[in-house]
Amino acid sequence: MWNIRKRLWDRLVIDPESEEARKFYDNEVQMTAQVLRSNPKSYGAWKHRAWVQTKWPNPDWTRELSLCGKMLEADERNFHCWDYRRFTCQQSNASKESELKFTRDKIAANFSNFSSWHYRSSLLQPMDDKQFEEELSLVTNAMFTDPADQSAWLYLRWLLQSRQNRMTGVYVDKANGKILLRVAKPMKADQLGPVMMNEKQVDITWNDNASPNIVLEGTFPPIDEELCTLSVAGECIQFKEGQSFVLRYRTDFSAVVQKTLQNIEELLELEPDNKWCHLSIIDLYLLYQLPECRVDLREKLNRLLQFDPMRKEYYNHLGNLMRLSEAIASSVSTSLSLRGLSLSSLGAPLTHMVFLEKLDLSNNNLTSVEPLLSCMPRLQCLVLDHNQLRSIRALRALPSLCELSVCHNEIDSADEIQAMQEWPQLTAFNFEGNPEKSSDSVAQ
Amino acid sequence: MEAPISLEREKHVKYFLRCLDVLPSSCSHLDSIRMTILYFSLHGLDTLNSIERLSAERRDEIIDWIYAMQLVPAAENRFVGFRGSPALEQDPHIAHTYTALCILLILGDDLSRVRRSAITASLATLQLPDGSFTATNEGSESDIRFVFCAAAIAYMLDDWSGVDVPLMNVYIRRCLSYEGAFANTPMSEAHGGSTYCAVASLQLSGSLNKQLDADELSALARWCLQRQYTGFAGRPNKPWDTCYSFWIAGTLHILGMTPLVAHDENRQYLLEAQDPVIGGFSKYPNHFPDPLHSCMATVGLALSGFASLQPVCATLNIGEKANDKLDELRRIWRQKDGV
Repeated sequence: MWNIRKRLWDRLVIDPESEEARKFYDNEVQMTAQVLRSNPKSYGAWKHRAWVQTKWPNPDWTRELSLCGKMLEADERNFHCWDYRRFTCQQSNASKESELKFTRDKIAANFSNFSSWHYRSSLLQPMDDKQFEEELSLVTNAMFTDPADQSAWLYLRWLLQSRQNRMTGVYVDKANGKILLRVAKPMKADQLGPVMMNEKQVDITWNDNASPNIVLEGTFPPIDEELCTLSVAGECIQFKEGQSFVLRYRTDFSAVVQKTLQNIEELLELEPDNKWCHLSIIDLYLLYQLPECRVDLREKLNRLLQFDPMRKEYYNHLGNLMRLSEAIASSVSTSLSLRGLSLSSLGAPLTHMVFLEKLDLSNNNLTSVEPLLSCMPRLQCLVLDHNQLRSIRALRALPSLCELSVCHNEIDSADEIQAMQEWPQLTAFNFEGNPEKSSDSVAQ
Repeated sequence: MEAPISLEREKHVKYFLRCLDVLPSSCSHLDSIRMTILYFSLHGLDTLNSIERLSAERRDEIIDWIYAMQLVPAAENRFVGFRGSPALEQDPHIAHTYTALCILLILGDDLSRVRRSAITASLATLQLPDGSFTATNEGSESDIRFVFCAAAIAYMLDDWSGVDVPLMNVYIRRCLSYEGAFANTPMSEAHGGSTYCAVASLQLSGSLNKQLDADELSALARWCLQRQYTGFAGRPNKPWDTCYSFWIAGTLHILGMTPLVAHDENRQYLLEAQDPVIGGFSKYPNHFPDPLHSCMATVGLALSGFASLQPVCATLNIGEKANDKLDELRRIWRQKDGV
């Protein structure tokens, strides 16, 4: 329908500067305003109004902003209107500062103003330390004003995550010239920029430049000297003597983040049943290396299970991540045992250990190991005995796997077992105790 | 405690059958999107395991009508697909093409009259440089909804040659908001419907675990789970609405997180939103039913394991039987093409 109007405009408006054209412009503007009054969420009306502005040499951006203002007063969550406002500001070259002020005012008027927090987050990328501190204090204010409102807590979580390391797992084999990088967000290798080892630039040939990935693999001319530092994408990574790998998933606990933890703990004293406080403290622990014994996490988790039983399965999942974190913190090496931890799901920091070669996940409650499949390029030996796996076909995605044990699971497909036995890559494969017949371990 | 509410099956079956014939004048603005209304009605009917209430003649009549909506434009470099209705010289539209294919599968058609390769190749004419899709060549807004339609069409017709998948994935990632879920366009607020469209698209192109790592998947699941009160809401601090029992619960289904949903409460909310007089479901209890919410609520009940309803394939939003039919067709096509 709107396209018919566009076609008519293109046919009838020959001279955009003419009086006649002005009449058309005013008419379209009035017409879309009428439609939006009765249907403020009409995709077509917003799009048409935007299109009309682009057809007119001198749009009245002040009026457009004022329209947005009125409509947002009626419904602050109208994302069509927020989008149109962003379009207006872009077209009229409105300053970032004025937009930041606008969002700050909106938030001050109503902390629940989700869309304002959201817009703010997009204006502030990337953030320097000073801005980070200011945002933390804005959010803290909101938390204390209305601790039951989700918006501030979600924003807090995003803020904290935005300071995470970009390189979360690193492996460098200097003698053979191999490098593996696990990155927090998918990246293309050519976005990394120059790579320096011991402050000298290294020429790296990356395996795949075409698509963004969370694991980047490359080769370089071998180096003799001991590797002390690796610099890439603005981060400097220290290697311990003789070590070829580093896990950097959890970020150092800075003074600013420490203050945030203190604030949340204060709030918790005033509002002992606030679920967001409990969740945020657990989040902080999982993202940052908190000092030992600062928080009793198990107690926090139990309280969550008590007052938010609808999401108990999710909190159990969080419990998994906490146990994972604890087990890994005590020993970061290329060989890891996670036996008997009642794990029903996997996640960070395990999925950032790109350097893992041996992994024992036996005696858990796993039904899938999906999270591992795209981030364990060096995994050679995987033990999954005594779990609840029904299918193992997906494990063939692990490029270095040669020893696999899946005894006492729930694999009922003889075809899958056979296919795995026939996979040339495997030198050892145990599968006894599964519902499928034939239960001897096989060494090829 | 109140007595549990039961499902008014027969009333809903009758409601959907009526939608096929006539809608009240208050719905006249829906005339140009008849294809969509047809989809809601037939998918709802199918989920109630009642598609056989249509006679064979009626079924053929509908199938013929759908094929009559298929259009191969005379000009070159135009999208080949299905229109929403015979009204007003419409262009083929990406959403109506998606729903047309769904309906044909639900009615057991073998898609032999579908111009498969013409449609899939011409998807390229709708993809924009930023990776998103518009709905028609003439132009429309472009956002994640049409990305989903493109992915679904490419998947169903088993041909991705008209879709630049890496570019599409770049756009999808740009729609990931700070809240951990997906918005309709980059920099917008995360929303239940957009989240479904993004996650389903990623799953359909096999990109889900490559584009989102375990942490992001965890944050996404968390955002979805926090939307449940009894039923689901589409965004934080918004009222719950029956259609999100599909958009959000469907997303969780695709993520393999269905066990984390509180199903009893969800079912209870949906049943409360039934209209016990004329059938159908509304967005909240004691409101007017409409085809969209009637369909989504029915599917929402099926996703929550309500007995006697047909299981749903969440990535395409069609029933299991229709999905099986699709799998069979894809097998046949691959054999013929020697793949």
